[in-house]
Amino acid sequence: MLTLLRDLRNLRRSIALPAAASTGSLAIRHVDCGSCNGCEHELTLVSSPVVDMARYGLGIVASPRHADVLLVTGPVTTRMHAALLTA
Amino acid sequence: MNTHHGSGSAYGEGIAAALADGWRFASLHATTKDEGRMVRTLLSSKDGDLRIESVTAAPDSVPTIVDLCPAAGWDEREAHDLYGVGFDGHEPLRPLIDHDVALEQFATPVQGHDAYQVAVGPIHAGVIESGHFRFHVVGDLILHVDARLFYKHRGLERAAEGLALNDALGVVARSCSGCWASNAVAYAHACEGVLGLAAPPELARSRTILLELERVWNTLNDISAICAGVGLAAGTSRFAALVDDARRLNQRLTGHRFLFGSVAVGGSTLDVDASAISDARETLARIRSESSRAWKALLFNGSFIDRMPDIGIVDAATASTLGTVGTAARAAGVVEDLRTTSPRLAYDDFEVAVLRRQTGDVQARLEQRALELLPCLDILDRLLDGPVRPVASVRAEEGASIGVGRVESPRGATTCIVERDGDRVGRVRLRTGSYANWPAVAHAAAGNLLPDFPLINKSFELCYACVDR
Repeated sequence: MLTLLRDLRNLRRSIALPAAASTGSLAIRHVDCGSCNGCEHELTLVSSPVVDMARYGLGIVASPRHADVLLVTGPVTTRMHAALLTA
Repeated sequence: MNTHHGSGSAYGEGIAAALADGWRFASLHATTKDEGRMVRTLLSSKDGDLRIESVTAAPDSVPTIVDLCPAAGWDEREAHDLYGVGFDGHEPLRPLIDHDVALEQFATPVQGHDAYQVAVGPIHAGVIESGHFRFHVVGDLILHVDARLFYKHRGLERAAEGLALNDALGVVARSCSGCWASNAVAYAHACEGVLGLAAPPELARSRTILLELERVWNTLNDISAICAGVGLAAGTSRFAALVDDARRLNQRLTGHRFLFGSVAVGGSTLDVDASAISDARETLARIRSESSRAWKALLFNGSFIDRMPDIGIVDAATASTLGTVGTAARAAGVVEDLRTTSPRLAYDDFEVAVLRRQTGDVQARLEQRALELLPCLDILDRLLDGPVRPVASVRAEEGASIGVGRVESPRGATTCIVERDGDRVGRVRLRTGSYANWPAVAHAAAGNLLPDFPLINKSFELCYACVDR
């Protein structure tokens, strides 16, 4: 466990990330409406230590009630239409 | 490849005889031909031989084969929903893709004292693809799960019909970005079968490199996801960083993080010069040492490892019955990998990585992935020995009306069948590893606790996109 944490710390030090945002935040609720799974894979990675979008005050939240932004991926299939409207 | 066309009972008898002979079910799809509809079943042998059994729907239905091979269950339901073909003896023939139905029609009736249903999805709490699960539970104990997918059905197979063979590759492969290269190579192989083209060694090498690059990031991603399934943030982040490393390498080598555009029908335009090759070797060596370091750290984390055993078991007999493929099957002791029978790819004397503890639980699936990462890096090490140059296929034989491509994707055997209409796509069917494995997920969940489902689900780490198409 310590190895993991130490490696993560070293990784973080080796990446020259731009300065974190000092003000403001945005809560994002993601709804997949028929994507090719690429958006989901990349969205998962922007939370990883290499990009770490939390530094800019961006976060994925679990409910549309908590969200400022509804992030829709995919062309909106007929079967997701009603679910998207509910969200 | 042998194709055989039978009518009614001859079709069922032919398949029963083939299965008794050791042939296995690989795919089933419906198609429209001239005046009517027909159903084609693809069977494969252990040595990689293929045969197709066809039957004409007379007038609306064909005999079911689901009693002979339950693995065909989803395929028959799909054929019914999309082509209106009935399957005599498949009772009840529940809707799969058709969502415009009452709850009782897609959910299995579960009755008893204190049994109730927990509905989850189609929209989930995290960044997850859309799909609906209906858990039938007593307290925390899962009795049965109905997975209702196809919320992402985009009709890509239909969209590919009528396109030129090479143009349709983008449509078919794009059904999933996580398995893009596997889908693209399976489709390209199917088309080259139709056109009578063979792959020279340089083309086989180029495509094998792409497939293994895809497997590297997917394997790391799967381990990261299993850590996420138990809430071990350090493990999730560590492996996610390695996934990013691998995808950045994809970008540098092919111009795209998911390898889009690096596969074509009848050749390859991939051009990787010597400096990019040495960059790739360096990056992969780093991924190898850092991932094995992180893997050891996981193994020594008792609270993490203790969560893994005896959860979500799919034993060897069940895996064979359900037609489970890929790491999920190998973790259960069904030692099958299409890389051993892929003459059109550069897998030379590939040997399947065999786990000592083949228990088919979450732990076995996790360990199988870690075990398979090393040979995968070895293959890349062997193949990345010099620049990759554009190359064209060579004409080897007469063309055929149907072509089949089978590739071992990160999630298991992916099968693509192309039926030609002149020089265009008449019908294309893509049956991915995820499609084959979803019934196993539902099976693995039964008898476990509801809070363990995310972990069981992550241990399979299947795509929804390449199932729904």
